[in-house]
Amino acid sequence: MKKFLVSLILTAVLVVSIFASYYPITLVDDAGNVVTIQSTPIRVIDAAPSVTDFLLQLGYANKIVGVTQYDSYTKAENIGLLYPLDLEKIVSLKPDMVFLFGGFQLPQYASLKKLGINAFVLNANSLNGVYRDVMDVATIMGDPQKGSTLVDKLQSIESKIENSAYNIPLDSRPTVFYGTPGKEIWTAGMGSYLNELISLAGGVNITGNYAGPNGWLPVSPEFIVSKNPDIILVPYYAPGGEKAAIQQFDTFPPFKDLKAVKEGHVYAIDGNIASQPNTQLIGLLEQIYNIFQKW
Amino acid sequence: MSKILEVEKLSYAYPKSNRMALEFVSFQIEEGEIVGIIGPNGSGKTTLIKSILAVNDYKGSIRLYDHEIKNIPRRELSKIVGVVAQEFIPIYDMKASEIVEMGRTPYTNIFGDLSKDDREYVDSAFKALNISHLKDRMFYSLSGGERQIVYTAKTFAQNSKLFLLDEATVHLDIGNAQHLLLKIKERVSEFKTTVLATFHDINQASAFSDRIIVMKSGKIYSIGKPAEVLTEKMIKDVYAADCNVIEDPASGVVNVFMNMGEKRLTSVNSSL
Amino acid sequence: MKEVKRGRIFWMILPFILIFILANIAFGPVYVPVLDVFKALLGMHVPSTYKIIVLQLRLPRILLGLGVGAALSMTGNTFQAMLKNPLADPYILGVSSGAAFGAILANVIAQLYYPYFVFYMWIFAFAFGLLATAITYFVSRRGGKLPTTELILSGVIVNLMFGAGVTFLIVYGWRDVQITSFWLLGSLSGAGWHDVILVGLVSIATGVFFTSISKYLNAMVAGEEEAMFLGVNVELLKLLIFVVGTLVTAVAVSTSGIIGFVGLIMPHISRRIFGADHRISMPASAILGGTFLVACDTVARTAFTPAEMPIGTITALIGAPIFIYILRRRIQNV
Repeated sequence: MKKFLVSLILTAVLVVSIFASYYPITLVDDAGNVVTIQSTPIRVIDAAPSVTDFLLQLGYANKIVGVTQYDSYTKAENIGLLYPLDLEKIVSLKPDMVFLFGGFQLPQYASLKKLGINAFVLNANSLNGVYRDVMDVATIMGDPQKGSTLVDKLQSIESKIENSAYNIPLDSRPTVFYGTPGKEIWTAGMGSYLNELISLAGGVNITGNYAGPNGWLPVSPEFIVSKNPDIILVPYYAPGGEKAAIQQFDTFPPFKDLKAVKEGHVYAIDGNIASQPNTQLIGLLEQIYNIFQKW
Repeated sequence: MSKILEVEKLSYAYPKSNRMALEFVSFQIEEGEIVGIIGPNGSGKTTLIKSILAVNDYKGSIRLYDHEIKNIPRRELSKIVGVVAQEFIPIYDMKASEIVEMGRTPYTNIFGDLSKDDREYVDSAFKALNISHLKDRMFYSLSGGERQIVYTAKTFAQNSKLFLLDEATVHLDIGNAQHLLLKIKERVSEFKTTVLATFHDINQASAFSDRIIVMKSGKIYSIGKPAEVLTEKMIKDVYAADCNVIEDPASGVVNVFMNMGEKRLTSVNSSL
Repeated sequence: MKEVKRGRIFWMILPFILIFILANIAFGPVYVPVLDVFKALLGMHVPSTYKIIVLQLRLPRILLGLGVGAALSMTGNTFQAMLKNPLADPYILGVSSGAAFGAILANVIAQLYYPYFVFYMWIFAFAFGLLATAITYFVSRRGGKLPTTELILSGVIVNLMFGAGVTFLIVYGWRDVQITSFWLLGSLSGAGWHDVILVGLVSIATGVFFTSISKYLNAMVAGEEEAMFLGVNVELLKLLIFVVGTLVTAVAVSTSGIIGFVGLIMPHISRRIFGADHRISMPASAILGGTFLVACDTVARTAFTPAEMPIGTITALIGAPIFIYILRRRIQNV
């Protein structure tokens, strides 16, 4: 399916390039906006940390003229908050493309449009979505070939893991829970990319049958106790926070007798990666796969 | 007779406007006396009552049994002084008995449990005012007159030495007003209670009081027995009204009649 | 005579209420047989999963619900008498939002700078709760009185202000948007025994305090001056009520988020059943408020299994129509 998709886009691009002039091109972004690009963007604003990865992976760091204050990439102008965006600052940077993410930043698309600024929303909720976003960014930046090279590379890692996990019999796959103990426990359910990663890596997400907004839902602690998962994945955010994150399960009385906690199968994963749908998810998939191998 | 209340050079200015509400007011009340206060609206009647309750920050001195009112703890003060104002408006509808029980607030323990004594005071307050049948009625189901009498019963239950009535009869019809004032008089003769009462109606003040204080613009205009104080000149000076003052030959009570400038024939009788 | 009867009704229905509260332990996203629930409660041998679910998850939750519901309901009852306004409650007055803002501020500081600030959470909640109360009070005051319209409007403003503050802190400071719903709509999920002990101690102490001032609250129902005439030190009483009411709200909010309407409707219902005398309506509204919240929480944890629903949405669904009813009656009466 995704191969088909990629080749479709490639064919389209090929057809376009046969007629000599590559631009203008028209694409549909992840929020369903129809976006037309008139010429190669040279001044790009990267308005969300999750978007940065695409630009860096494709080698467009030098085109970035602005990033938000939360970004790990700091070699461009600081445009401040994710929401609301500092529109004056953005206008002053004279961008020809602004990359946004979905969620609470969505309403900003209209504001940018009103100011005549071209914007594109990248909001994948699956690995296929991430590949499509890679192709979209590469196509917008004028080099779809770069995109397909990267997608091929990522896909080969994915299929390697997928193929080896595929052979694990259903009843010997570990049951997995992702989340942090506390007042409200949010976890990844049906339709979330994290749920997909757990399945691809050969695990069974205990909340995989339940849906929520964007695939995420607050889950009852009773449910987790009754499912008694084999493996727990807990996100950490601050560098070096792995240990503290894992310890939270030992100190939360209802969870300290869970199988995974007792047998030492609680693993910390980088929450910043787990919460940003971009090519880093492939690395996360590898990490989760390796974790499952230890079980 | 001993003095229960001594007011000396009492002054009070409204906090915002600095307008004087009371200026150098001085008078004394003997135990067991009934003193009425009259005066036009805004003459300082209510402010005077509030000062005696230490609700406002007055200047001068008010001594109750030789103690400055400001220095008496509020709980002790409320055992000595009880109030009936124009009306009692609770936010929640309560039973008449619950309202009368409030009168025991200064006496009960921290949880507000009524002792046997407390219950007797409540019962006798209901009996004294002939309203025992209203005990279990909800307050808002009562008529305006009944409400005011229940309110008075609350003050009776408080068992105070000094009653302050602040135009307590102003919303009552003549029947209820008479009932209320007669019952208070009974209480005075039985318990030697002292009463200080402001009145809107000069004639009620005249019929009820042993002495009357006339207020004008925050000062005492005159003070004395009703027959001495209620003069046509006083009415003219204080109320700017043209009235005739006539003594009722049967009771000796002085009454004030508004003069409408024409002599009316007793036509009702003659036409019959 | 009848007053005694009302007290007796209260004692008569109390065992049924206790049974009802216990019955809630049997309900949850995971089916636990009723017999096993009782065995677990009595410390008898049951599968360890059931034991954890009953003793570590459901029981603390129910006790926390009882404590928070009682605390909010008593605070509402007290605020209503003190402000002479049957629509006053910690949620409407904005105390809860102020407290939530404070609690989150402490969390954000803990997350970003000083981790030990987590322990100051309820102190921050208390401080900002007091600030919110003071703002509502002074904005709505008109010549020594607190008119209904002004009170509700300024409460709405304070709620909006601190609600925006909460969103701001979470989105920009904490960057964890998901927990917004915990703070703004409340939840008893994940309650531990340490929460139960904190809330339990505070709400019992508050209950004793509020019950011991019941006679003064009775004296307040016809206004501050009438209360003064009955020997009540009104200014001191108001100060104590504001401080204690805000403190207990702060503790409730920092353990279970903002839960609206309990403090508004439960005192109203308890007055309807048991009369307006605070000596009865205070313990009654505590019991009813606690029971109501326990029942709402059972709905919150079972309706969309295994997802948790914020309890504030349920109390609002039930509470808002009753609020409208009281408001309309109030406006007709005035």
